[in-house]
Amino acid sequence: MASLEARAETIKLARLLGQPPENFDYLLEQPAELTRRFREGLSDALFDQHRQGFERLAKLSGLLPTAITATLSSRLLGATMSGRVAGELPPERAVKLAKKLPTEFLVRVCVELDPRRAEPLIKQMPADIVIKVANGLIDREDYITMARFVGALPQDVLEQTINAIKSDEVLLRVGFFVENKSQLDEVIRILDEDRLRGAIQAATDHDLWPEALSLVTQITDDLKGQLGDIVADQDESVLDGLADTAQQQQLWSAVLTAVTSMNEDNQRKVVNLPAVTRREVLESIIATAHQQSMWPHLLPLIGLMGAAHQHTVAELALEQDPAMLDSLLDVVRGNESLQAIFLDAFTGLPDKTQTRLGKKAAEHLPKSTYTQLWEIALTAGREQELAALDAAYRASAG
Amino acid sequence: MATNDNFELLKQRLALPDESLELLDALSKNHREKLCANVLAAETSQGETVNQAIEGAVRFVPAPLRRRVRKLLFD
Repeated sequence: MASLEARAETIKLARLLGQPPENFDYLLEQPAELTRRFREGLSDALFDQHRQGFERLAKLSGLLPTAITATLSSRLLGATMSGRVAGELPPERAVKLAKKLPTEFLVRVCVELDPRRAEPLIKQMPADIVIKVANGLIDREDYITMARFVGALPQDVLEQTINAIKSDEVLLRVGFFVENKSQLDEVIRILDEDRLRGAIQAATDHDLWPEALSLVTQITDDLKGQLGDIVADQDESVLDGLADTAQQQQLWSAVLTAVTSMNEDNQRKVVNLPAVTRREVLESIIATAHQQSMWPHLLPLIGLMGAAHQHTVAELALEQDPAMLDSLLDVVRGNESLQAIFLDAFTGLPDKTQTRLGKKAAEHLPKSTYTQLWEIALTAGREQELAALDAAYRASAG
Repeated sequence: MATNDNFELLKQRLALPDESLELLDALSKNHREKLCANVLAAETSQGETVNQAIEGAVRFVPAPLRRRVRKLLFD
């Protein structure tokens, strides 16, 4: 499935080329970053190609009264060309011109404007015009364009605009599309706790968990913790819904990052949720930890699970590809706290289960992998606690 | 069989930085040609629009001043 980021980048490129986005569906499978770099390079190259023309138009508009330039922009140049010329105008003149233009036209210009090129003009645009344009973009549900301007607006105007946007759902959608993710911190710090809770509620109400989780993974650790704890504060039914979405859309890497940032009570609550402790869900989480080198994130969370769930994880670990267990053992070796969590999951197993797993390990695991596991138990002086497993392994392996 | 005609033309006409070309390298030949054709069409259309816009904009200047404005813009 195409990522939301890839879809957003494809839409932006299609706009630059004046085509409908569906003409570029073949780009949806490409990494969003590649499409973004292509679009930015292309936008610059197209601009440079006709720079002289844009400069002439800007110069010409300087010779005309503002009211006539406004008519020229809206009636002759149109939104696309006005967007290209805007960055070439002296910012003060562009602001005067914006005051003469209808909001609907400014909204369309905004869609065409390259914020990187028009930054000086955006920085001088008064808050009332920015807010009107933002509302116009909300009416068009154009969150992608709104997000492009977050980095270019001065802090006070950004704050006034965010406060003027009453919908927490809009904030969440815009936040997801912000291009420079370091700017997300700035936006989130403007929001009070009620609005952050509203945004999390919007994720539930409007099926926006993928967007919300993507945001959580990209902000700094203190904000991750703050947002993560707000997420954990939701009703269990909401969290179960989040877990279902994560399972369907394979978002466990984002969930693991978010849960790692929560306080310990909340971590314990989340990792013991019925929807998280289902066998197939735990299997997906383990696979994610292996594929994305997230064992150091997952192991401490396993330590907070109830014994029954820990045992399920232990069983699953022995059933997976031996390479997975090898990678887990590599992480555990030499780290006492992770080692203890790892061993707890196995040593707490009843003898009957250990015996079954010992047989399974003999059938499934290469000798070298089992030897490593045993050495970890020996190093920790806990080999006696795995006696039943070891006896079954030796009997089966011969 | 797809050729690289549009891709080659694009490289000649637009100065795209190497990092921007990575996307084109990642695409199949057919898709690359299709994308390059769209870019070339946009480039041509933008050129025509700019020229028309300048001509149209000059008409907004009072007639007695047009010649001087043209001289100012194009010389």
